[in-house]
Amino acid sequence: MLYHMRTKDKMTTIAMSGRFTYTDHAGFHTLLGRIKDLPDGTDVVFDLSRVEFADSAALGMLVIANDLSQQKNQTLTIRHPREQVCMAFEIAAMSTLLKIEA
Amino acid sequence: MTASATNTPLTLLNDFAGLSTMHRQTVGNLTNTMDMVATAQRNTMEVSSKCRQLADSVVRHGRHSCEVLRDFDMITYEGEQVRMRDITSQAEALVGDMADEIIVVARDMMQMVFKVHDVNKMLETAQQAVQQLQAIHWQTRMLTLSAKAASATLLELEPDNRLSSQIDEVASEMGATISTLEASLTGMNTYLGEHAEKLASMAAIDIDEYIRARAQIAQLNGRLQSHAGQSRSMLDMLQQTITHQQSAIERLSMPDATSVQATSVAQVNHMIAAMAAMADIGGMLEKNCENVVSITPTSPLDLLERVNLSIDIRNRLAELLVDNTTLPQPANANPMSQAV
Repeated sequence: MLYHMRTKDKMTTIAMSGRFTYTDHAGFHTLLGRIKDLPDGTDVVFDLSRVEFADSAALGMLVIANDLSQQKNQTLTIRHPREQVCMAFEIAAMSTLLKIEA
Repeated sequence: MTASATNTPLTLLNDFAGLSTMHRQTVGNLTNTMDMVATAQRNTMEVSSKCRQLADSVVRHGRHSCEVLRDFDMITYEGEQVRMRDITSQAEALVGDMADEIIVVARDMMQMVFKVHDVNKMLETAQQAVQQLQAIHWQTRMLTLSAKAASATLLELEPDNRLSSQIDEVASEMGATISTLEASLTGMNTYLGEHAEKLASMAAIDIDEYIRARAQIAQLNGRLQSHAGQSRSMLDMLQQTITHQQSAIERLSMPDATSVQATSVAQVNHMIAAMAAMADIGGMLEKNCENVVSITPTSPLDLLERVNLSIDIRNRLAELLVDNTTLPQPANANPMSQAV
């Protein structure tokens, strides 16, 4: 899984691509550190339009990112998840925890 | 005596206090990490168990519905439809609960993974701090010896030199500080040794539980996959039976019965699809739980490699103790005394 992070005004967009699985835990841990350094109140958007697949670990990592954002008064949005990722979100009822935009 | 030399022993003691605190936190974090792995394992087993129960429920009801339709009776048929709707509603609620549990297990599992990252980083930082501590300690010893040599030289040149007595006093203070450090290092060495052994004994017990839990999860997942296959077969039978009864319904002129049947088939289809998808997520969870266990100790030897990082810190401190035993005694404060 690759990611690219850019910040404009008070919004930070993290564009991810590839497969988002357990093996990405080290890179995601580093990404969490960078999110933690963002100013309070920043909007964080995870653009999943180029993520082909997400497993249960990916669900857990996104929930942890959301918990961190709430601690820093940030808004976290998941944007444009693809079909398989949408299905995983639906089964796990992620919409009850995260803001997801088609 | 320069200001940096007089400040060095104090800096040494401050660094030592910080290292002790850091190491206590590291030991605590390692203990908490193993607790979290055991909890994640138990939660995953519960999710797999509920997937199996859901599959059993759908299979049972599918089989019963086939029997009812085979002995076609309108009153019993309508009653069975009501019962099917009730069970479907219960299964939908169960699927919702399972979705919540999946998220909890997935989140706890990854929190534990990130904690292992933090613990490893703390151990590396502690090792670096010890290396710095060693460097400072050597500098302090060298300065002390240099001070004594300078004092002796000054006395030889001018026996009444007051600077020499001042140097002697500072060297004496440094020697006393180093004695205090020796006592603290002895205590730290004992503390580290006790905790390294305690961690190893706790890990030996926990590792047995991990191995049992992993075996149980593999068995449960196998049964879950088997039930998923049975449910799909039952759905096929149900659909065939419904098709066979279509002509009988038309002869009885019950137009509403057809739509009720279609709804029932759709409901069963939906539940079996949800159960199959839930089984897929359960399978992912099981595999990721195994991945998580793979980065935590899987054998007493593996754990001891991590604990040995603590032992390495202890050994480095022990080296400092060994070095201290060869340090000369502090000089006498009498300015007329000869340096050693």
